[in-house]
Amino acid sequence: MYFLSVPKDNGMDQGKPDIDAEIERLMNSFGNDVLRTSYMYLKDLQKAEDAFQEVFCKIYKKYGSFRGDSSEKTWIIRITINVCKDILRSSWIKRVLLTDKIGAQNGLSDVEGKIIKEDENRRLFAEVTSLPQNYKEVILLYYYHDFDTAEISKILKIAEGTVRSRLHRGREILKGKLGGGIVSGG
Amino acid sequence: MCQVDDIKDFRSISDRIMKDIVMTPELKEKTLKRCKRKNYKPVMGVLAPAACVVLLIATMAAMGRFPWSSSTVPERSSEVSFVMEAAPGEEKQPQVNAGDVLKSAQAGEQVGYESAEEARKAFGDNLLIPGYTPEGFVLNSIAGVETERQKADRVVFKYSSDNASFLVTEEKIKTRNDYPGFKTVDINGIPGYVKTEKIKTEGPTEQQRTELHWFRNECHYSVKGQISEEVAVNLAKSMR
Repeated sequence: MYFLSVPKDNGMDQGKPDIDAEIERLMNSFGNDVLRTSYMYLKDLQKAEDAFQEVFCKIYKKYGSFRGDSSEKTWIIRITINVCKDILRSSWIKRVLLTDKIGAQNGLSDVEGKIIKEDENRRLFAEVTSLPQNYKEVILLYYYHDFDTAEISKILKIAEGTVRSRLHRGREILKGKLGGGIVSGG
Repeated sequence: MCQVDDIKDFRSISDRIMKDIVMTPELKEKTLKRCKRKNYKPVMGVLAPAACVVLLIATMAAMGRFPWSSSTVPERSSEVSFVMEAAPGEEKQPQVNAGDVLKSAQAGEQVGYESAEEARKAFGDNLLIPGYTPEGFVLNSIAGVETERQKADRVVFKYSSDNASFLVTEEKIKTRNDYPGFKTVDINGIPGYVKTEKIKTEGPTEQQRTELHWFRNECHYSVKGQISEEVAVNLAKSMR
């Protein structure tokens, strides 16, 4: 006989979700988003995996309190950002360009024209993830998660005007580091 | 030269760079275990008053002011993730510690079964066994809640695939529930109630989540999870 952690079945009879099945569903739907957002925030794969676990543990605990006043993704990414901020506050992290798993991939591209573009893309990625936290999080939420400024305002609990000005300032910093034309959109 | 305009393609650029950073089955499993195991402490601001309340209740219980036993709700553990919610009309059974699982069965104890036949011996002939496993899925586990030794009043079959999972749950009940807003389907001559919703995922395809319920011989049966209505209904029809 083996003993298992069987998901609780507290009865959709009362309209309540099966929490374990719901958590698994959320992991399947948003797990990569959470992990990659954490990685871009923390720039360390181990810390990103720790953040991933912490995020879904919080979701597990708080699922019943989710009122549905935002999309599930908005709610989950908000928790992810807050967990990453807590981790940053509680640990010493050197602000360096990517050094671990991603860094190890440098030089893997094997076609001359592609190599140059790949290096440029990696540089963009590195510069974005090296931005000061305030600018990085709005850039990630806007360009990676495709949230609009209203949703970002809710996630970060800041005014929409502040979101726009941080987006603008973040782009200006990137422009200064990377060069390039006029950024449109946003 | 890298152009900041490329930031419009940041998502695809980043996903290519992070193509190896994905949620692995190991990370998922480890996280699920941690979720169920983690004993969350309340925030410090409410810890002291909460401790006072617990102390007060424990003192009153020790003085015999309450009919409860001195045992309190156990810590969460991986084995106690199966919360034994009472069926409608029944009193709630007390939860038990994970360690008690190995001892002789107590009220509401969670156990695992090695086969559907073993589960049927505990639940009775009203346990319906799925006739097949849907394509792409595997049967991960069969577990139950035993109110007396080797007498289960709930059995759960858990299935999963690479990116989806669902449960088949069977439980003894005293009252039936209604399912407003659900569609009625036929399950071998018995009405079933089904609802399906679409879930957005990261990939190009959408996932479906289905809930299907039906009743027979004072038992409630359900199929719930990330499968289509067709798969759920066909599976239900195969159950004997």
